[in-house]
Amino acid sequence: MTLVASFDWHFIWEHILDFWTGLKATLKVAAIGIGGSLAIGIVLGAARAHRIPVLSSVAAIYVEVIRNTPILVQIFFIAGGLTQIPGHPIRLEPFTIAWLSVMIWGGAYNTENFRAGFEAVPWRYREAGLALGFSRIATFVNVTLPIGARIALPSSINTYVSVLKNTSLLTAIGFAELTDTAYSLESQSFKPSEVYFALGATYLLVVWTLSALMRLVERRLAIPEAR
Amino acid sequence: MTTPSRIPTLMSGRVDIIVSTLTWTAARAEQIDFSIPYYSAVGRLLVPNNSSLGIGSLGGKTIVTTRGAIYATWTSNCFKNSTLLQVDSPALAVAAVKDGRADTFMFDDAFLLGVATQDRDLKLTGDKFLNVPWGIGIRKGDTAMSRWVNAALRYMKKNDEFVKILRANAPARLVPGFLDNVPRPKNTFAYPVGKDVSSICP
Repeated sequence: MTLVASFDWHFIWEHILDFWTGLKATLKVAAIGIGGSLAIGIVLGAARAHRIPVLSSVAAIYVEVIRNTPILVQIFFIAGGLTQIPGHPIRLEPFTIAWLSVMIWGGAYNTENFRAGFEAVPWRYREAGLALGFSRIATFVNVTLPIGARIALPSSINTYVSVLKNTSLLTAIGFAELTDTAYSLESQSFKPSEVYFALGATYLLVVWTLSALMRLVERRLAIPEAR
Repeated sequence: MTTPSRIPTLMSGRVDIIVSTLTWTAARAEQIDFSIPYYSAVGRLLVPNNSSLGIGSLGGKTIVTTRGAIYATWTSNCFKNSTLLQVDSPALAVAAVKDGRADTFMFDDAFLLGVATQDRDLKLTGDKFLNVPWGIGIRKGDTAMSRWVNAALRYMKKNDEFVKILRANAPARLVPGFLDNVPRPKNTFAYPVGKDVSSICP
């Protein structure tokens, strides 16, 4: 009770602009990360499902490496490890490091989501497409993709939500997204309850909104007989 | 331990005093007690050798400093055109300047001078700003510790011990520049109580 009584709401209101700036950065990075992982998921998921030579193996290695290492390690590697390549050091802007790392992470998990989705499309539909004279690519675009993507939708929604939440780890490279902004604010003001409450509430609101939007999309795209 | 975790670590009882270039700020003084000042720090800018940056040309540049430092507050108040990068330790900040992720590291003179002396590729600009002393951090109410620490500091000040330490640890050519920063029998340092130095812009 005393925690609530001594809560400094005024402090949160005073710094609302800082939170908003951090949130904008988080949303920008998450948007690119989600869009990118959607694209990577579809392309590499299709490659894996159809066992396209070379690309399928490359995708498999990519997925295994990313899924078996912590995302923080991946962020540090992209931020610092790449600057050590002898002869061709790659030095990236913080914003680039941010969206690249969450996109690569999300892409790996999404590849598996879409691979499972495409493989779950009953063979008879694909066979029908080929029998009708569709090329392999046209069959994929007109038959496998629409059905497989809908099957993969619930698990890819999980991945997109995780991409958004993982942006909070970018505080490790000092990228001024929401969590980093809150952490810096707390270091200066010594009001952890207020700061972290506001931070948690903001994430809750944003992630819930994203999930709600995705659920709306899922309902609109649902296969007719499932409704 | 990271820079921003120093005070929480003291308050939780894991450590008993903080002797870690802890600058006095009003916000910190509300949480913990400070000993009498033991070093009068001045802010400096660390830049790569080929940089022509100065305090007047920081617009559009990236300034790195440690999280929660007075330089962070000062930069957000006075250099709104610059990008502030906050990291969790001075070593990471130096790395940021060397990597090119930041154009300058704004920090206390004693630490930066040590870095510039040892690293041939970095130098300090001539700008000096934000003169605020360091103190030893002590838990609020730990009066026995405060008395003991302050007594030790006063003894060292009276016997000019700080200058002896300075001469033993700093390169001879740099010592004259620091004689006014350490407590000596005839000088006094004071914390800027009641003044918000971080809102005084150049």
